[in-house]
Amino acid sequence: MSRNMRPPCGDVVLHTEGIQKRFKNSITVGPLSFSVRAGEVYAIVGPNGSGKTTTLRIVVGIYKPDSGHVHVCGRALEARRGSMGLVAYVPEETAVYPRLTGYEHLLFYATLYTGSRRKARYIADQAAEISDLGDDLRRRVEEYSKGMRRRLLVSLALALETPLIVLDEPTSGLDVFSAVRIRRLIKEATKSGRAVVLASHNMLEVEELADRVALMYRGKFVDEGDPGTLLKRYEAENLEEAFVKAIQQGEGSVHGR
Amino acid sequence: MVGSEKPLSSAIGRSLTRLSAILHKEALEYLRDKRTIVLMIVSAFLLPALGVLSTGLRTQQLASVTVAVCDEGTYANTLVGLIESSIRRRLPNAVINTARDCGEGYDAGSDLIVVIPSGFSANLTQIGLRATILVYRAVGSVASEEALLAVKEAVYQLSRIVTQERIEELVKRAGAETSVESVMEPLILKEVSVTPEGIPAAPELEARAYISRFLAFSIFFLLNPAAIAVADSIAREREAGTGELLSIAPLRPWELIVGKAIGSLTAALIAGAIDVVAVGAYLKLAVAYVGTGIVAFHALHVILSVIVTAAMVMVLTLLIPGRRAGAVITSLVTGTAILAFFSALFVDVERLPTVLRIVLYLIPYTHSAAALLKLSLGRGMEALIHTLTLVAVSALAMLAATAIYTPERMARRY
Repeated sequence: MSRNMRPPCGDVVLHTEGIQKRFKNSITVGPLSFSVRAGEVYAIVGPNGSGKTTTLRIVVGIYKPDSGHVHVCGRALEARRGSMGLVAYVPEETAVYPRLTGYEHLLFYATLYTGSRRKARYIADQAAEISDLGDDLRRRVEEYSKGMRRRLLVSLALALETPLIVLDEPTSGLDVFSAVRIRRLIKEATKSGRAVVLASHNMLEVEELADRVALMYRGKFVDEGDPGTLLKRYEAENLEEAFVKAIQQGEGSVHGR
Repeated sequence: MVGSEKPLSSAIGRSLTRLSAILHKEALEYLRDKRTIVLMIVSAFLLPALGVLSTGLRTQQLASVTVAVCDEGTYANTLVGLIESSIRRRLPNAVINTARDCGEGYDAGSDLIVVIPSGFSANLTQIGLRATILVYRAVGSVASEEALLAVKEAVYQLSRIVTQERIEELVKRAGAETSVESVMEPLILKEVSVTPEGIPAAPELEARAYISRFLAFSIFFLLNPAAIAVADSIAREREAGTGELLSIAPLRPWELIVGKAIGSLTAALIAGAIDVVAVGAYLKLAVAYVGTGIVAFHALHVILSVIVTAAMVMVLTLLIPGRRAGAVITSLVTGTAILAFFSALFVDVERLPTVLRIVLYLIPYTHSAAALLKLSLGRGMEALIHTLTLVAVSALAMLAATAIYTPERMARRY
């Protein structure tokens, strides 16, 4: 994997400053400010509709924030150029082209990211190895289970070797074996200095993976810290309990700007 | 990084590689959608057949015609023969009952009853008398209308025969030096087709112009699958979530827009190939009729029309998300195409009042039809101007799509 590694982009891979997005139905996400360092897993947890996906979409460049800035590797994301190849993203849906084979799928995105057939083939081969899908990669994606599709997308995100990986519910709907495998892959990715931002409902997963956790509720971060600190702060046995207590102790104590 | 890259190291090279990746992906998606291809084949062969069937239905009606002959004369017999042959020609499935005995009555359930009264022939043999034929037509019967046309045709034929005989008689009596034709048809209309330059046109030129109008119209059949393909492809990307992945990939907006627009050509080419086979099978429209040049020019306009359709649909689909909205957009664009192609098929757009002409020329498809017609008439420069207009509209539509594109427009909304 290291052969294709991008040059390091400094200690702070992601920096957001006061990002905010308002929707027509008067729901507002933010303002949020946070940074993620190289080699770090940053998890955003919160209930449905709390704004996790919106935050991730702003971070990857799908949503243009109404205010605030997103910097990846010190570069501001341009409104119309997505993530400029600095971010790999796995959305919550298993976003695949059903009529392509697994390998064609990998090769397609790798070509878009590299603009080079040779590099794309190298990355696709890497992703194929990471996915461990073997001969199934020759089958069309429409024949894949949800877990196989997820493995395909996560392995592609890892193989693209972008400095930042953003994962929305990476193990949602997966069986135990697939979930464990994907968690291991995420951990491995950070060893090479890449930063990971993930959103999840699964508090156990977050406890296992995250270096830092943001507790999100109604569009705002109610608290942020490493899992150990959060557990201590709320005298909780697990993150789930810490989250509930954080909400109860006051929705007003909003972390961020 | 992986070794050295020679030719593709430039930004243009990377753009082309990305573009070709999008085209390849789009092509694979269309080509592997076997059900849609089968439906295209079925519709290409079925629709013209249904079209022929519906236009030919009028002549296939089982009309019932009764001819009641109350006259034994020669003219009455001639008229019966003429009516029978005329009806057989217009309504091959018609049932004709000839009742020789006028007193016995006739089939009251007939769509059309023709009564040749007694004294019919006698009246016609006398130069100063007229003969009457009575026709009863069933109200509300379309079959009777067609049968009546056949009867009128027969009556006209007999009328001409009698007129000719009477003129011969009159000329004989008057001792005049004249021919029957010069009395019956003193005026002769002579028609000469000329080019806009006033040079007499060869009959082939007329045929070429005529077929070119239909060739232009045939472009319409290829636009529908292209419009559907683009609208559906964007809606699918949005709904499946792949649009999010595409929009964050390091693509320039124009790479995505051009890739998608040209990608729709795959669908159009599949539809086009099937359409050509179907048209060939039905009409035997050979290259020899119009020449390879016009057929090649037609192919160029198919491509341009598909691209302009794709670009316009893309602009609208990006602005108005949703699969249902996409279907409505497709209908809107193809409906506009029908208007333009039908207009160009039935009227000379150039001869219309200025306002109408401007409205029609605002629709890009009118330029396709006009270009083909002009080329068939040997007016190459005008054909080129119309073609360049279409190219400019395609480019403008793609620029518009690129301008309004944002990653957010490709993402599914919650």
